Amino acid sequence: MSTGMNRKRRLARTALLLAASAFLLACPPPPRPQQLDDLQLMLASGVVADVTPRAPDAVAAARATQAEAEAAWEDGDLELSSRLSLLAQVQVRLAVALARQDLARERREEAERTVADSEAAYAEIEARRQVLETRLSSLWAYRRIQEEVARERAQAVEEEALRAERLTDAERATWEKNWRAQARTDAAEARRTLEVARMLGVADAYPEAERMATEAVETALDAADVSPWRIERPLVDYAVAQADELRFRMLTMESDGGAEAMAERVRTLAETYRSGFDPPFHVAIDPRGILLTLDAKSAELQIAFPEPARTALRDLRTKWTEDPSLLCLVVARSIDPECGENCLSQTSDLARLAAAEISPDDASDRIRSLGLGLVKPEEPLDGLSQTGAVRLEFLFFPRATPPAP
Amino acid sequence: MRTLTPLALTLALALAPRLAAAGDEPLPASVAEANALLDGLAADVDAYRQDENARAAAPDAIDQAGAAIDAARSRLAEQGVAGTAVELRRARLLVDLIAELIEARELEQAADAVAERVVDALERLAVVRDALQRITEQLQLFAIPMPGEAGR
Repeated sequence: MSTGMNRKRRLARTALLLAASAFLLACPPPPRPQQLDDLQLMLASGVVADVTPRAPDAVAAARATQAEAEAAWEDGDLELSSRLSLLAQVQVRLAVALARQDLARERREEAERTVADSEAAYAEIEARRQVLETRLSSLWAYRRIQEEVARERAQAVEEEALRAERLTDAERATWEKNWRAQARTDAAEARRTLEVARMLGVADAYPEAERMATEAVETALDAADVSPWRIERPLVDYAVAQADELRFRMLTMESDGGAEAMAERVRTLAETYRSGFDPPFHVAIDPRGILLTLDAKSAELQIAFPEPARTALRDLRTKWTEDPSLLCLVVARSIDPECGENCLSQTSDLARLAAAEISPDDASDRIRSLGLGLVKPEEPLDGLSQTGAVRLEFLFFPRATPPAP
Repeated sequence: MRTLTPLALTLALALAPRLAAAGDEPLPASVAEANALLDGLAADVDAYRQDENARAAAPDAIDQAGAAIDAARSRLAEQGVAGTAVELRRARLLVDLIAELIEARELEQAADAVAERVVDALERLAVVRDALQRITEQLQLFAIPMPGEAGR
């Protein structure tokens, strides 16, 4: 009897448990609090994705609180879930505020860098602009002076031409010969000045002007040889003006202390180079620098420089090498009227030879040589005979420091 | 609901140390301390209400902080410190949020001011670059005249 009762009780208990389990399983989960849904939307938004790298700790704290709110909801504690969700929402807003600060700091630092860079660039460009403006105005002033010189020169040429018309045929032949010699001399001077301007860097600073000047000088050299007299004069004058202006452009530099300071330096250099070098050289101030002139026989030079020139050249090499700011142009020209057809190449070879004599390898970038052939027959210095005589000129001039325009 | 209240209490008690650890300061140890904390927070919020910059930077947060402090006071009276842990923390966090929003606004205004200087600096730079370009062109194109043509 009691066994049957016990079985019934067990069955009833089992049925009750099953029924309770079935009831529990059939129950829907409690509704999610609105605050939890709002929080989920906030944390899933693009704003939080952007914010996370800038405020990772604050976002992590908000997500941790969200997890607690989710857990509370799953446990059926809707009130706690809702309260934690509200707390997490404030944490999200805090994360956004911290990220705004970080972004603002970053923006400010970047902007300050940009301002600093811009101001530095401005200062540099403005300083450069002022230098160029000064150069442009000095160039205008230079041209006004050149205008005056050109006018006087044109008048002198005109007067000279009128005088030539009154000469006899014999006198006229001599006069034309002299006229042409002067044209050749002027064209050769333009060639030397152009080379000086090149050594000062004019090809980099004013490439187009340098090209024009080169053409003008070549035309003038040709015209001085072959054009009928008076035709060559404007071409030669143009070449001289171009070469002079190119050199002037490379000298009017504030960084060198201006024209006066440069002239003073050249005067000092001339004094320095007179001592010990004059003789055997003739030392003089040239419009472009200081000039050491030496007359010699071409044939001798091709074997070896004679004494005392040889020793003087060795000393010159030592002295010049010590001053890296000094550039050197070595020019060779014949002064013998019988120089012959190969005169130009002969003088070019001699100029190279003389340059090599005073230039060590490490100074080769500040020396150039130039052969001019026969410019004008002249009496050699120091009682030398004219036959086979050449004139070597060592032109030293300070390196200018122009800012590239 | 009644059966759930002890569970919630237990949960709150269990969570309290963790919540406190997540914040900057520990929870008050007593109701009196909690009230003192809330008084301090309320004074901060009042000060923010008087501050024009704060009102401009965080108008919603100031209102919400005031409401959160009131809610925390009510709950504190009913539930004690442990049962008010979340509210205390939220009130404190909202006051912190106001401070951070003010700082964010100030930093943004400072960044905007520098950004305006960037615009000015870039404009000045563009102007001087143009001037340099013009003068460079003048120098490059300053053709050398034939004798007798200088100065024109």
